[in-house]
Amino acid sequence: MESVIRAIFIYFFLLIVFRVSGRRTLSEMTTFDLVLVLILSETTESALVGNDYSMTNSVVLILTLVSINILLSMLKLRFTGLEKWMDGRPFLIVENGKCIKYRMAKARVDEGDIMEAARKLHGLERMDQIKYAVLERGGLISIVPADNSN
Amino acid sequence: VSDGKRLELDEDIHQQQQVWVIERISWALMALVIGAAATGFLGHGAFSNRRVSPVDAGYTIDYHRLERHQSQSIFIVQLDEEALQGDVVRLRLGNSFLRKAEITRIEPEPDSVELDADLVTYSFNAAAAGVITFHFIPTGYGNAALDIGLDGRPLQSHPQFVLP
Repeated sequence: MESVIRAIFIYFFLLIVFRVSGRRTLSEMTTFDLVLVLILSETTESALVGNDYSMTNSVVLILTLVSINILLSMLKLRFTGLEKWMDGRPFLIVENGKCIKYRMAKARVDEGDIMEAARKLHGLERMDQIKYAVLERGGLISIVPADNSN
Repeated sequence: VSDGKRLELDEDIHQQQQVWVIERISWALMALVIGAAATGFLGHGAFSNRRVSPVDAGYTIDYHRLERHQSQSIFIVQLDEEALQGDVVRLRLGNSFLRKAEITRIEPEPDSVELDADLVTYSFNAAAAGVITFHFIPTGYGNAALDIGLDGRPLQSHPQFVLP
């Protein structure tokens, strides 16, 4: 029973921590972000497993975590409000080549991030070639080029 | 700022603003937790450390007021000169503590251990028992009293709380 409680607690703790840390936190991983993820997984492992290294415990933990994930995905489908709070909604950060500074600052996105996405996705060179830039739910920036961007 | 209608974007900037507020509040809470951990409010720090010399108990004890579940810890009992007069020192430890902790090592090692219904009595060679260190791992949660006393004197209770 303790394993199940541990798994539920850790699942929701991580869910909340990563939700409140903002959607950009680990969306585009730098080398250090990867190291951070490895450290986090190592730290989480000790909290999850405790001193029970049995296969039974591992099976219980895996099944619990996957089950919560399935349950939450079902609940999100049924209750859109829940999905909205858990995953957020995409929002505009550039419109017709103009940055929406307030939103960018709150979401911790700068013009460099937007231009990087514009270059990678569409080979764009300037901000005025962007019609829309959207910060997606997963933290990635998607770009809609302006009609005259070519 | 457009409402994103032309893009057909499922945007809800009002809710997003609420999320940003919650994010900022949560960051402040995270900073508080880190500050609490640094100062010992979550165990093993300045706030948690206790050094107590109960009246007529014959010892001084250093222990952590807050412990962490399954985390190796110690408490140190320093015996007063008058308690070391004989050849043998007998130190009693209440079972209420042992029900929530596993003692892994004692330095110096006791010469003998006697088990009773409510307590354990450790006998040490007085010549080597000036400072006794108990290494232990908290195995329970919540309130745990470290009841300890020399033979012939009442047990003194030192409250601890074991965090998950």
